[in-house]
Amino acid sequence: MKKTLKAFLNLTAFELDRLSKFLYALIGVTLVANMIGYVLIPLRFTDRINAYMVQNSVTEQQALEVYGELSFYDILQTSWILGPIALGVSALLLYAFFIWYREWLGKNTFAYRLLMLPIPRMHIFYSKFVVIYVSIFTLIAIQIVSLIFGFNLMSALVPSEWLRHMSFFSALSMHPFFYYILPLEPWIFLAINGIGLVFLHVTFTVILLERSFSVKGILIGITYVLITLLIALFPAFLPELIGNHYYLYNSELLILTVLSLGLISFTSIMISRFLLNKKITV
Amino acid sequence: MTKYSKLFSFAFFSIVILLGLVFYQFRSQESSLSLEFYTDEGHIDELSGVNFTGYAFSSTRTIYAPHFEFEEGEFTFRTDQPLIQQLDYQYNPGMNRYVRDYRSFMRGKARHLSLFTETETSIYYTATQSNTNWQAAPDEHVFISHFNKETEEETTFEALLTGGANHNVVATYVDDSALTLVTTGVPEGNSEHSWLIYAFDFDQPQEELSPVADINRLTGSDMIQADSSRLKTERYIPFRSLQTGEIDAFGNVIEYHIDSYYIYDTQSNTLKEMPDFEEGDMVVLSELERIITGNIQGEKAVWYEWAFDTQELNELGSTVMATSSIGRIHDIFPWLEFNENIHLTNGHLYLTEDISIATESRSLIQVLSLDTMETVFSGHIDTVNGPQDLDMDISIQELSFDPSFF
Repeated sequence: MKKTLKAFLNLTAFELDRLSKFLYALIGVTLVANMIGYVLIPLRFTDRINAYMVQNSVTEQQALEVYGELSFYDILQTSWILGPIALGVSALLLYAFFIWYREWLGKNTFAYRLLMLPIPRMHIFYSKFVVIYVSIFTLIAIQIVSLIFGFNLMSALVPSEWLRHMSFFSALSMHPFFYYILPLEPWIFLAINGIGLVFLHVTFTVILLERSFSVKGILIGITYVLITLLIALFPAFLPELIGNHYYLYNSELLILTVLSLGLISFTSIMISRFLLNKKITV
Repeated sequence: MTKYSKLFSFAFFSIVILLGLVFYQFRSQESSLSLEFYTDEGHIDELSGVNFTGYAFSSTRTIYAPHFEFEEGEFTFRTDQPLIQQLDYQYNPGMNRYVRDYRSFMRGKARHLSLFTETETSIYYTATQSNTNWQAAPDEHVFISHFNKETEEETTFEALLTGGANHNVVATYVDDSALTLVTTGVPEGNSEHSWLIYAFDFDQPQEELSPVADINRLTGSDMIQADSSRLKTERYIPFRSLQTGEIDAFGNVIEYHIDSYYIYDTQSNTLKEMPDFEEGDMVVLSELERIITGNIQGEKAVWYEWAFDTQELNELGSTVMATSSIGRIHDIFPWLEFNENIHLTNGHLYLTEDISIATESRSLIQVLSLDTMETVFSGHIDTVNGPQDLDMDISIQELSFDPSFF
């Protein structure tokens, strides 16, 4: 194993180790909340149907006409499933800031030790970046396992004739949230993750700007964010600017968007590299 | 290796699960939806040159609404195309063909089929700036392009439409180098929109065009609709006037009635009113040099040819319609065009209608030959296979004709 790669892996493993407790907590919350949802919703549904049948002396069919059949989609819409996802997204978003600022917290700031390591300083940048992405994909993978389990559990808890005939993938595809975060449509999954990747690069650059120039850095960071937004949205406004909505084909606008995002990512990496090597001093 | 175990475990777990989901999805993939024409009468070959787009909408799975295209006798789904093609896809088969075959010519041109007229050798495009720039208000400048299919040369003219304001090009009829521009606009000295007709000649292009006819003024009606011709190479353009019917408690018109049918001659720039039938529904269409009118009572239709000069009505024969309402929309709205579900091309009438079958609906299509007075094709689109939990509505949206077939 090459020395630099080994150093990078050491640093990434170290970063993951620092994050692991936080990640385990998120996984735990996700699994517990999901499990409650998978059990509670079907049991409430069956109780409601049974109670209605007893109270009104009606058949199963008549009760189902009133309450409708249960589908996995109904469970996906509850906060037992959506809540942990929202928590995971916002927690990792905050962690993207915390992963840098924690190095400067406390009396003996750890940042100095990190920056003194005999490795390229961009390794610090990439290791933090990789750890955030590993966490995102781990949470997505945990969610997938949980959903497969939940689908089978629901099918076991509710009589099949009380269930709406809907496949696992139909329920996920119908859901506007899972449709985007799970790899159901490869292009959409790639696009979402591509945008996330650029977002993370810009966030890291803004943090490094602030660390390098203090208050002035915040202003530069805000300006940088505004410039990146302008570049990212430029293809969308291009038809307005040239005064013709049909001059560029949608496929060409997509290529322009990908190039714009690539430019933002590349610029962010270059700025971060400059800041880490030249501006942040120990 | 132990210090990397956590990192590799997380990474390996994520990769395995994500790839596993993709594989699981592939394995459990529902048989993909495929469509087919179910022929009740005649032969599917009669639909050669007929292209249309449509959608299969599931009321039980609202996200499952694949758009399909019927071209050269084959159904294809938009989602089956490569991503780049999907992005450039237009929900109109004519537009898709233009974008595919004449991509350079189509650059910067609005994607509304009504702005294009195609002949065997040329494509004409007539539009105002507001057609391509959504922020621009309708104005008086019209851009006219001629594309030679053989040489791939494009000639463009700009002309000023006088005699009115706020023009919107609805259709352009072509006869060799002579163009008839059918527009809506506000005529000078008037505050209401009117149908204004302009004439343009490629051999003698003029920078300023004056209206050759004001249809609303000629008919004395303020509610006029034009025939939604797909080819626009006809000499005669059918128009019809509407009357308001029932009005609700808030003063809104909730019902419209057909008043009269008119024919506009693009060569003499004259307009004549057609005689009405005493009973039944009336349809009016045109093709090249002839005007066809039908009197439909129930499932029986009697077809006539109307001579514009002598105003004589000659019976051609009668046909049996697939349903009593095919080809017509019974709830009339004051849209710009009519005859959306009935088209006359090459002596054949193409009629469509969405019919209900149990809780679902299907598009029915009937092709009648005016030469033999027989149904040469009648059938509907249905699923061959696909997901079982769908309550599917299948509907034709945009129908167009490829002139190279006719």
